Amino acid sequence: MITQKSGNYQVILYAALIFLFFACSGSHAAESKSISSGSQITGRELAQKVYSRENGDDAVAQMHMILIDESGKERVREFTAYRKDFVALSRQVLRFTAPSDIQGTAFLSIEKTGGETEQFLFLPSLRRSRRIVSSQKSHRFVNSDFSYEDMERRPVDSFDHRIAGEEKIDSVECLILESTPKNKANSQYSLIKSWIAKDTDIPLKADHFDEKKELLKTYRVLEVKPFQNIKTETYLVMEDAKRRTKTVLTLVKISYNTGIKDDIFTQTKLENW
Amino acid sequence: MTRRITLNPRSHFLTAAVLAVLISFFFVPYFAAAEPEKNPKTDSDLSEEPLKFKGFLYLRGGQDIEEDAPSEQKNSFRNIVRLEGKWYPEKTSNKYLLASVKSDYLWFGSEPEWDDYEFNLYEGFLYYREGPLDLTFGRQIIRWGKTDDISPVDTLNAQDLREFIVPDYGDRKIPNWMVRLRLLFSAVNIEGVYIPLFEPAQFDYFGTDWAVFGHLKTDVLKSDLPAPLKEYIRNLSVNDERPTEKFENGEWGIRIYRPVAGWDVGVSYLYAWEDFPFFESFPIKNIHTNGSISYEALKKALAGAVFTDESIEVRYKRVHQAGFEFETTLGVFGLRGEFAYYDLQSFLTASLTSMRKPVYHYILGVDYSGESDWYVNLQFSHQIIADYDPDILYFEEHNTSLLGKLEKGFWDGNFRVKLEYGVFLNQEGHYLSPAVIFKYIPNLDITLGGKIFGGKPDTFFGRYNANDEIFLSLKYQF
Repeated sequence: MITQKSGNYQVILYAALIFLFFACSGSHAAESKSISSGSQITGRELAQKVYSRENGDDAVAQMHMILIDESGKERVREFTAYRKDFVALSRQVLRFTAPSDIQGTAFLSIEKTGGETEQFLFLPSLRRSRRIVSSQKSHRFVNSDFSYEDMERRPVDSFDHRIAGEEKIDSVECLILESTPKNKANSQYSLIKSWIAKDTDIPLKADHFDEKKELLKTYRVLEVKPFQNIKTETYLVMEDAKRRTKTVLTLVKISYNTGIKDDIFTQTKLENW
Repeated sequence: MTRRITLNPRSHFLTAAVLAVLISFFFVPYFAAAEPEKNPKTDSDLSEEPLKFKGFLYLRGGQDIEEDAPSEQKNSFRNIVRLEGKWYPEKTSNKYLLASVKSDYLWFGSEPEWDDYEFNLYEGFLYYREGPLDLTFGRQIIRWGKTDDISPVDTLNAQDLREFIVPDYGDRKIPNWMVRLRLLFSAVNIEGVYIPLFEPAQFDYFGTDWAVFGHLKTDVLKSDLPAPLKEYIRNLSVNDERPTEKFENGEWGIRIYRPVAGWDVGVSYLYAWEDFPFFESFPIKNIHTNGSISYEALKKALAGAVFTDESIEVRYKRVHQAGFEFETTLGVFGLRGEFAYYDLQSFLTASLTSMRKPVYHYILGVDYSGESDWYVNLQFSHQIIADYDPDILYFEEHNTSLLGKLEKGFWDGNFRVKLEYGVFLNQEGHYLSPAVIFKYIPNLDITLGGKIFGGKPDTFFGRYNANDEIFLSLKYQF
């Protein structure tokens, strides 16, 4: 949860949700090419294609997150997300706009070379941004069904990948990609099984398994729409198989290549908006 | 019953003046332009509405746990309503005007009864940014420093201490008129602040459980002291003389701040007025108190006392403050700290007058967020009073304490349990605040908690050990 009190900062990494929509660096756009049926492709190459999907040099998106508990009770959170690529590294800002008790809370994430990420949180009640720990990947975001790890770009080479077959998801032809972490300490999952649409390189479904190889969570993309010729997920769900809760993310509005200024992605701007 | 109603006329005058300047700042360019620009420079960073309102309603009722002092207010009630408007004249976050008003009612009772009502401009400032230039101008709160709840570097704004540290740190801050200019470069930020009008800490001298002299007057009236002495104590008054409002009496400071390899570090200097008064003289001479504010303690101290017809004379003194702050992360831990040096700081002494001493104060803090919604915050504070005099009340030469918070969330964060604590290591004094918070209804926090002060009556926390209470509060944000 997000609290306005000074102190509880474990929550706030909504920002990485942006990755679900902008999951790659524009600098890789030239590599993008959809997977044709029957082509020979390795698991690593497929993972790289997903990672390198075209998503513009920057983007501004308005999003809604709906947390649905076991009894069906819903909580809606609204935010605006800003993302810009700085060569191969990306920076994101996320600002909550509703509900009132989290309005004004903002988050800044700066990718660094070597796979590190610096993260800063601004709580209006604190009146300053706060550097926060970015290494607690298995923590839940704002009590949603997404973990910090779910929100990160997973470096392709931190997993072993193999293609396990083909299957249709809602009549869309998909390749099944099985990814296992090279270092178990780097992931909360023992296996991620993804269904990658051949025509868009978008993962339409992903089952996440725990250490006992039991299904933990299922990620589904239920709608994809083009914006400025960039195929974008607009409606997706993460379901927790054990807690029987789910989190729905909907994209309300998005603009790519807006020319957004660099100074948006700074601590001082995080504090003055 | 004591009652104060404040509508801060100085604030109203300044508010009107500043608003006039701000409005002209925003509107003159529109009227002055002969024709619209063909390619107006715009930023595309603002997706929100150009005019936004928000606010909150806060209600809090407290009940003293135990009848353990001759005069104490067994109940308290506070009602705060704050409404804030923010206007972006262009579709950019680089220029905005923020104004908020606050209605604040505080009541203690029922015997002796005391209340206070304020309605005033809370914040009202302009924010403007162009390139590396970043300006805020108006009534505002500016936060320096990195540590939580106690911050030696963060002294630009005074605090409302009418309820001591019962309200949260952020809620105790009093906005003040300031100009802040920052030069923001990628490697370093340079910040200058000027505060034209002095704003002292807000507290009471007599009449509440938290007042400097507590219920001394009431206790004396109830006592067996001779009638003339009762009358004398009842008529004690405070002559609070503040710095005159002129340019050279302003406060100013500079802060240089930069991120270095995963560390945020800053150094600062502030030439300010102390927020707390210097007790220049006390009308009862030749007394020696131990710091307890009870009548019994004072009665002992009165032996050999000389009574004069003076007032309690309080003044405010200049202070030079140098600070250092840092913040970083190490593995799963957040680390932060501050150090401040004050060339002279005022302390109340056994004669109920003040003396000034140089002070060094540093705080080191660590926090950790656990996977199952645990949060732990631990800070170590060490204050050193140089050239220490044993007549100083409530503080020793070395004052060490642990303070922080333990918090755990349940039911997707809809229910939280927390314990805030402050424990002196060098003296017998502590503060504990356990609470449970219900957040099931959107935008509404319902908190049931307690405030427990312990220790000897001559210690920083122990002097309030009769003020333990349970409370229920509601905060609705809209």
